[in-house]
Amino acid sequence: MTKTAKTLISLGAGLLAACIICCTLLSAFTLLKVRAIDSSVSGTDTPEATAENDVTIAGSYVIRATTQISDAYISGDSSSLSDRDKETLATASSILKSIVTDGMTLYEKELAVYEWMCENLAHDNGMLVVIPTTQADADNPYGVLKYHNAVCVGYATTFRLFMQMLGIECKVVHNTEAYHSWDLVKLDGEWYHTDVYSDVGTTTHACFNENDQMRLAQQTWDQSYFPAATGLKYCYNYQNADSVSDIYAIPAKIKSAMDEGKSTLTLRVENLGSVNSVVFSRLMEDISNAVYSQSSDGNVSFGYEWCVPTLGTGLLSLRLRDDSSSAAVSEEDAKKIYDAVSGSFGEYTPSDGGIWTGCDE
Amino acid sequence: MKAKNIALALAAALLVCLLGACGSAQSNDADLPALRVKMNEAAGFQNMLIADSTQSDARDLFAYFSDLDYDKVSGYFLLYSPTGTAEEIAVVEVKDLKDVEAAKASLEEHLASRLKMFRNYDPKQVPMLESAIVTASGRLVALIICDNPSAVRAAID
Repeated sequence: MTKTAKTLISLGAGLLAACIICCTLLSAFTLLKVRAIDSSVSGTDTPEATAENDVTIAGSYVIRATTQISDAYISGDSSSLSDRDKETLATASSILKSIVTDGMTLYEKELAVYEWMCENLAHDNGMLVVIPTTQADADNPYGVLKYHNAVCVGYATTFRLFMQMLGIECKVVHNTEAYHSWDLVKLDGEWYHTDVYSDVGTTTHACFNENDQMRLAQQTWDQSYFPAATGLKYCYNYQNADSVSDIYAIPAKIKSAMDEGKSTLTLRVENLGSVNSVVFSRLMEDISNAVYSQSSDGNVSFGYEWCVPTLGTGLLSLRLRDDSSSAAVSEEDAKKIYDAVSGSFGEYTPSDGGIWTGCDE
Repeated sequence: MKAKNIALALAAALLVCLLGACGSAQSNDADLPALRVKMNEAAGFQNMLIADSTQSDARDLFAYFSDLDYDKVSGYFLLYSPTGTAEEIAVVEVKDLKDVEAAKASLEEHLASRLKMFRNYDPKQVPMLESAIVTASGRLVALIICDNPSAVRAAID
């Protein structure tokens, strides 16, 4: 073999070795990066310390303090506020003036604000879309009070603003996953959970002034950071529920409520004693079966939440609805609708098939 | 001379092989619009919104479902519900095979965040999310959330 051939072969071998080393290093780097991503996905990174404000919920909505607005309300001096905050203050003040009177207790004022928000605001479900379509400022009092559309952060921070304006201590709580937020309110030295977002559009007061045991049925949060809510004095559902002596009195109450056309029912079940969860679950399952079997066309809905707010007493919140006749439209109204729509768009097939119009012919 | 030529030829051949081995298999890019149509049909989707890599704000839209470095992306499309239900198909074509795992990880992270969202706000959608698939075929990586993810996966395999 000539010297040149030996040189070239050596060069080739060197190139091969260099390439192998480079590929090995690249693979190692990629593996480390993927492990870092895995670590981040699995949540093994160090979690941030809990805070009330400047927390991002559901990746997009930020809880921000509004004490500058409530302080201005209390002091009467809004000169240092931005134009946005001044507008928020004016709107919030106007609402409080219309729903709150001086003779009300702090609890009654809180209830008035809660009920106003439940009746006048709507969910912004754009937050559930992959590329969110939420209204601008759906997460702060400015946008919530201006557009009446909110995500949970909007409800929580707006409710807190109202409470602070009324001199009621209030904190915004977020759950462990940082995907939902609500409020903690202090009345007579005791804290209560209020989740306006979850109750909006209903009259159930299901999430108004709950204690920790009731809230834990739905959420978890950093209980080492936020104050404990142990009171029941101002827990709306606990205090206003129908009382039953034991779980076997539940079916009669439900039947009675359905006969009266009620859509919700809350029962405080005493003497839980040694009743275990298996027995209770079986009872509710049988009630559900009975409710559905008695419906002529199956158009009923039956749901419930159960919690034990205090030892020996359970709270059962029921949702009852007979949908069999709820969607009916009179023939006269149906014809008016058809005339209006076909007058603009031409003939079409109505939602109910249009038998009465002859459209099915 | 003859030995010199043989040595040169061997070295050249070795160099070509090395370049081929260290590089990534750059097969032709997939026909993403056609794949989107095929997967949409397999899923039985109606009236879904579309985001894809042909749009002017493609980089910004991509960030809503993946934190993969966009410079590593050859193309993508996203089919998603306008009404906030959980149905979704996301397909990402990476430029280099070595980025497939990172792309999969990013879609798995997106799926995890969607699960958290619906557990909090619409638990009825959770079963569909729990049966979702993240899969890869060549340089294509897909997240499939629908009633029949296996049937949709067949379109990408």
